[in-house]
Amino acid sequence: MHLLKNPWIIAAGVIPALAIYLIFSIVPIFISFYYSFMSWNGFSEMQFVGLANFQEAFQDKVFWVSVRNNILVVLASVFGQIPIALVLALLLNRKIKGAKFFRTIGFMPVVISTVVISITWRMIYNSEYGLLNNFLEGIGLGFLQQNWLGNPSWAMVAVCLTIIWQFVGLYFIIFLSALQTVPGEILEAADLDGASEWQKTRHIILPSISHIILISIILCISGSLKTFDLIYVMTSGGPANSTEVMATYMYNKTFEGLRYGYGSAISVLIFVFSLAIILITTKLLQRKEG
Amino acid sequence: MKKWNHFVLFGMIGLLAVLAACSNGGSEESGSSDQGDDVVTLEFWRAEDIGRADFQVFMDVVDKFNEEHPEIDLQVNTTPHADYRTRLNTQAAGGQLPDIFQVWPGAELEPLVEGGVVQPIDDITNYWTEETGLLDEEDFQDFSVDDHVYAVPANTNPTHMIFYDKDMLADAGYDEFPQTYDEFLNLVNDLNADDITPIALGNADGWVLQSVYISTIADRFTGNDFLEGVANGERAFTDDDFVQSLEIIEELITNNAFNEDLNTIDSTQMIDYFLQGRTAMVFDGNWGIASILENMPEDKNIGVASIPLNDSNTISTVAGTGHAINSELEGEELEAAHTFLQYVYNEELWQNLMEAGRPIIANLELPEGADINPITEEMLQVIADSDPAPVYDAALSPAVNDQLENELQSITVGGSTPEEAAANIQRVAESEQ
Repeated sequence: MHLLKNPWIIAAGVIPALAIYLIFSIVPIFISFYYSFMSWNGFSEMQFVGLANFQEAFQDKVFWVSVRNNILVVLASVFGQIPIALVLALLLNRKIKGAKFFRTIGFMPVVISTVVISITWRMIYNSEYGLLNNFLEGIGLGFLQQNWLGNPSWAMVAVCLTIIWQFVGLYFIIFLSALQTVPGEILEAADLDGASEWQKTRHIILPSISHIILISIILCISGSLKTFDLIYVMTSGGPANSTEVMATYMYNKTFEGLRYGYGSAISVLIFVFSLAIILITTKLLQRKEG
Repeated sequence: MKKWNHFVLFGMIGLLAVLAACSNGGSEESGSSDQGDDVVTLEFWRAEDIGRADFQVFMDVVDKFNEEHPEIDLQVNTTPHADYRTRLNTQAAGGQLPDIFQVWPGAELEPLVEGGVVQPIDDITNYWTEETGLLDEEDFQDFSVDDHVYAVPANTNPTHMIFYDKDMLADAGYDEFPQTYDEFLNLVNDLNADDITPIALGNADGWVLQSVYISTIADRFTGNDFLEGVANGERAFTDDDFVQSLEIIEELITNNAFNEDLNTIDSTQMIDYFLQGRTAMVFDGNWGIASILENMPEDKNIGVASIPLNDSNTISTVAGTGHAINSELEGEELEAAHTFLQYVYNEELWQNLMEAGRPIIANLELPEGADINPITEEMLQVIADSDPAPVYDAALSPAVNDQLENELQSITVGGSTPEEAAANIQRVAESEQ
């Protein structure tokens, strides 16, 4: 314990990790800021173009489509993942037969690689041989069949459903462990007072895990703002940019279109938007809590 | 618990020992090669196409080179095809390119030249044009920028072929492939009437409609000099003849010529659809024949054609990939790199490529008694009977090409009309200049 009082030893422990974090996470953000004022294809001399990249981004329809889609992903995650996970956790927190089994099933998508999920769901959604369309046909709902990923008006819905499915398990486990911490005595006391299940949930259980719910919402928002891999593999932003999110759009412009300056400008905008949204939500949620 | 601790401890020690041994081995090896005065180390990068005959043919020659040249240590590093270009571009941006690396001709080579990361091989081209006579001066054209040559071409790469199932066409009443576009559209409708999807298309990655379709289709309307005209401002994508070519894509879509999931499957899956008999035709580049021959059911009766459209008979084509030398190479290393190129691009490679069914660029005849598949033969005949046209992705800058591919996708989902698509492409083309 004495060791931890010596600041030098603490520094020796922290500095290596801090240095790596600075070099690979913080410094690149500033380099991106620098590139975003340039026109550069990665090989030739950089040219200073001022705010032209930002101006172009703001006038670019596809960029705004990607912003809109990104917001859709955030909304789907917050209003899909969190409530579903909460309901599941409340259900499985009781003594149900096979609770362990359901817990494992629920958590499974979280440990499967995103690429596997994307490819599997791409097959499920396929309009010609896909599981979903065949299932709809089989139960007599053939008229609901869609070209899920191929039709721009459905593609984003399909992608959002997959994202919800992928992460429900994570929040479900977080909530489940939070529920274990709700003190048993209070619940027993409520029982004695004749409180119904709903009253117990509403007035005891939910308030005592409210801070966990808030943290989950923040995690959920920041996670969905940087969503990339699932969409990149599933649709790579297509068809015709209809499932483009900010990160895939930035990647396509930078590495496929070889426009490092413009791509950097977009990543700066992602940074600014994300920061703004996170700040606003923490403010709102804090006020609620207070 | 104690026991477990020991177990873990021994495990760790064992692991460390193995790691240490490995790294020792490594350093000894490189140490010894440093001591040998004459061994030159070259790093060589190439995209990997496992299972494709032409890739194997090339790598066999590379392996043989390594065996026969103990004084040159060629370190081969391959990357899966889809990731290779991204990796190359990123490494180039970071200034960390290997000594010899695979490059694409035309528009993709230009930024590498402008950025000064590759060096010309003008000094050694006479090896092919004069010493061996295997190539002619104009063969180097696709790998030339500002009159300097940067790589040796191995094969041509026609990007538009139609592979069709002869029996399915016969059942629909066509004993021969249609000779006119109207007849072709009738075929599409007749197949649809029989509940057969006419053409398999996998355009999830966007390049198929651009490289395989529009490069050839547009050329039939605009003529060979259109892209040059666009580059110097005399022509534009909004010109009627280019818009007409986009209308062909729209027309095929409205006639249900393709499988419904065209935007969600890729180019490998479209070949599968065709081979499984779900569709009567598939459009693909000449490379498609490799997987067709490999995977086709024995009783499938396949023919090859190009799209019957307008009076000309052009097929978009470009040199296949080549290998360029890092601009930082000099002295002994540069000599070794030259030796490598001269060794690899030689009769053996071209003979083997021919046998693998690739249309080569070299003054060589097929050896007598060579075993060539009749489908390959038919394809080579279709190519021989055609005139070349430029391939869009080899001529356009990446940003314009990206926009073109997006707009083509947009036409397939009814997002853009051909006129709107053309206007959008032109807008990006102008902002690039």
